Amino acid sequence: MSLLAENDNSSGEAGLFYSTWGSGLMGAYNYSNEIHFGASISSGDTSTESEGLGTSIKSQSTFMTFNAFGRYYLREIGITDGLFGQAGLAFRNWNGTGKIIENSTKAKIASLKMKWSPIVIVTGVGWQKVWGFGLSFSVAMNASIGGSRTIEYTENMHRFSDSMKKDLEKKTDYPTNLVIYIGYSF
Amino acid sequence: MIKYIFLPFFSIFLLSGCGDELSTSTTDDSANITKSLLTGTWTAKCVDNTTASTSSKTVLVFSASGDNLAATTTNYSNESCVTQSFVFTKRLNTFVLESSKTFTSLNQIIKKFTAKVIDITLEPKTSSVSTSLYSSSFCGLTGWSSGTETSVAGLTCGSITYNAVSDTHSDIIQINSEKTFIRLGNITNAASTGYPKTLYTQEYYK
Repeated sequence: MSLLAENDNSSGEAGLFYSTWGSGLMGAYNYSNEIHFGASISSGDTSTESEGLGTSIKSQSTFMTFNAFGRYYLREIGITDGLFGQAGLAFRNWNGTGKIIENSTKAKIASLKMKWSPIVIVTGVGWQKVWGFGLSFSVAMNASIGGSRTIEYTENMHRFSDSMKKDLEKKTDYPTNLVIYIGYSF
Repeated sequence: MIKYIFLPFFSIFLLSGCGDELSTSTTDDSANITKSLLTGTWTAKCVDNTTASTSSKTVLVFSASGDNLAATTTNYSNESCVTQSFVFTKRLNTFVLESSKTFTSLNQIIKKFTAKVIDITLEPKTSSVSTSLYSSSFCGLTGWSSGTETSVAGLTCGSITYNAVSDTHSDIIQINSEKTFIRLGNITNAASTGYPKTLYTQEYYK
């Protein structure tokens, strides 16, 4: 038995995945041996709390993503069997908030709101293995293209420094999405 | 052949995905400090000096529509601000607030202000304090009497030289966005401009 699936005769698959953008369900219809059409829905959130100089910094982000995609499998090339490229559209509802509170007085020092554009192109590459008894496993790395996000800073008692903004903008940028999937092929 | 270039094509496409285009906006939602907002009495909490077993409490009174400011620090001979020891008062008038906000080096949003010194006084509250001040010729003075304010404006008392009458007092002030407390500048840490570089951590509540 080959380690890589050179031919996938199943008509579809469904399963669970964990990714940078959240965890959820994924399903696909096998249009042909090489071409699959799929969709996934995921949700995730991040919550952080840290202490500054006499301050508490709290942030929370939520990610809801629906992704519709097409995949092309490179079946016929021996060294690349199981590899695929994919492209699609992601419909997302991503929001984030953060605030800085002064510990001694509980006064609001500053806050921010983040919002991402609802539609973005997602492309990527991955590798999939389907075992004979139906178990399917894949790893993919996707990237978003053509999206936008806005950050609204509100200053109450302190000004956001440029370095603080840059650090925050870097930490809240999610350009790539690592997807680890396990499912059943039928 | 197209299949052979399919993967590199997507790899290049993937690498070109540089995330979301970022746009930012910044809103100044800090409270605007005005003289009418300041007018009234602002009181700090009692501050204990556990090492010396003393305490102090400062009250700021903005009067005459915010043109005058009297800062009175009452010092106590015990903790929790129980037994008065001496009272230090700085009286200012011609209070002028700058119209625009600015920032300290710690990015605290503040306003600068100036005022003219009317008087700076020290009042012993007990005979033991006045006797101690008398015996040490504190500020170079010997006429200390409990219950009597004595001007120390322009004098050097210990390691501190106080402003003279009619000197300009330059300071900074911060208010929280809920407008429930203010902070003043640390006048012992002044820049070459004369304005304090930082704020005291002590809050004054109305």
